[in-house]
Amino acid sequence: MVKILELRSLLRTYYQKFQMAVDPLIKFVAALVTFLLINKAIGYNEKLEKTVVVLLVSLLCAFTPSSILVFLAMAFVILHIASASPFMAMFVALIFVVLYCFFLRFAPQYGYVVVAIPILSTLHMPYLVPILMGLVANPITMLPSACGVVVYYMLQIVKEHTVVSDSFALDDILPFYTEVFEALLACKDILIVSGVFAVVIIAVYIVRRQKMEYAAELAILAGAVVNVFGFLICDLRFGSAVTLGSMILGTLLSAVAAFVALFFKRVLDYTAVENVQFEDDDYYYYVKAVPKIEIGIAQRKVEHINEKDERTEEEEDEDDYEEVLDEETGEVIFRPRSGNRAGGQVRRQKGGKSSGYFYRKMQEEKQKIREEEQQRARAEMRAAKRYESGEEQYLGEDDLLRSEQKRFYQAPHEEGGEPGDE
Amino acid sequence: MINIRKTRLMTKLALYETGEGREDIRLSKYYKTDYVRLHILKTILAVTVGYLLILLMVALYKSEYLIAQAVNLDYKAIGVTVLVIYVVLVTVYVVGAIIGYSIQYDLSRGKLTRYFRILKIMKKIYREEEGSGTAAGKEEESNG
Repeated sequence: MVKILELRSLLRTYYQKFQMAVDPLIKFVAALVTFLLINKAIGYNEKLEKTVVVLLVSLLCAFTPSSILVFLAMAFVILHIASASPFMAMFVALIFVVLYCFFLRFAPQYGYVVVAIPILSTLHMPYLVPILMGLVANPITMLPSACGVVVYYMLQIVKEHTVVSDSFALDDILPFYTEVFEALLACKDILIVSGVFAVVIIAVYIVRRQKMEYAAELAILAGAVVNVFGFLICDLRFGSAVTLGSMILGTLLSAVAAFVALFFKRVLDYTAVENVQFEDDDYYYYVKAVPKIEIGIAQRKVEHINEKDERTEEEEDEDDYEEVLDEETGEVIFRPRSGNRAGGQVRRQKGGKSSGYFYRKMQEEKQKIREEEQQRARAEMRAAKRYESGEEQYLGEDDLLRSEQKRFYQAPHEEGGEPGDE
Repeated sequence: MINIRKTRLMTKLALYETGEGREDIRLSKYYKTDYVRLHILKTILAVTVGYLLILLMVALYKSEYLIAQAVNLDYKAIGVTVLVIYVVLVTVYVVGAIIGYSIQYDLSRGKLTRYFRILKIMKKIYREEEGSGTAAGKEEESNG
């Protein structure tokens, strides 16, 4: 447990430090994998297969929004197919436009899902996408995930049926086109997989939104179970072509990957350092906003003071680490009860307090701060209302304003002394 | 001298404006009905384009049959079927758009309320600064 906590804080620190490099690097790797897989799957165009081209395009994707990656991936697919059969490329492009009109335009920010499903399908774990989308996004992601499924099966069919031909004569292309269109219509898996993915997204989303402990973890499990049963039922009822063994294994792997993703989400959410620029009449401001991180507080069990004495030794052992206030930094640090016991004892001797003391103390302090903030917010709201109702001329005599003025203009006076003193 | 509280508030405003607030601020220019209506129009347009493309692809797929039976075809029945499917499709999408975009608008309003509250506090701070500036000027004049 302590190892995980240490790893978590280490990751946060490093992420904040190297955020500027890590984000583009991840995007670069994702783009590189995408283009390499497209080249491997339908590599008809030799120019696009060149390493330099792939690297340059991936580099472009590293510094641009994810929608550019989606656009370029689609362009890659169309250009590859166009090298073999321009007519087929037109057909694929038309399907992309239809998908955009019917699905993707309602959730353009989740466009990467369309790319993720075909890519993860090659690793036999496309089930990760609906589980993750239910976990971090909302049910609208059903639409892009359906798009991803269509794209995956369409590429499979096109790959199977594409013959090299640059003819636009109707007699040449029609039988070929009819074949592809029929294969697309006959592909029940598109509907089955899209439907099961939609149900998984809704199931994960509903469980995740429940107000209970470990809702996110349970949501992942629920998603995995719904996925397995969904495919089993569809297989029995409609006879899908999805291999059950690989599906179950893929779902398990996806669930594990979702747990890892959840860990990273919790670690790195809201830890990104923001750089903003603004100005007022007097200054230009270049502000680096570093989020405050509360170490592990969210995962701590609530310790009831009255029940403290009744806890058995066994229960005490359940907490394998204790929280200790670092007097130098003012942070709460965690120390294993069993491992580094000497350090913990030294600290307890110093303060003479039980292990829960600092935690309770901190909670009390937090409560006080929260109450103060609430009071201030209420006062501000009252002042704002009065201002709105046109009583601003009385605002200057308001208690709030006087206290605010005092607070703001006292500090420099205190530091520099009262002007009248000299 | 730099006013720490003002800087903090301005940072919060700037973070919101450059991040998720960009879209919210864009939405704030519309009334809810206007915003939803605009998106209904866009949705109808997109669905129409998509549907026409599907019809084109189906027509190409069935082109041999269509050309062979061009004289015997029941164009009225085909037209009615195509129209009914279109109307059903548009209705489903319009209802979805009304619900979806209304929720989106309401959510953005919720976030904007906080933004406007900080703006009001900023306004107050500016007024205080102006007030204290003129008061300090008067004090200096009287001391001088």
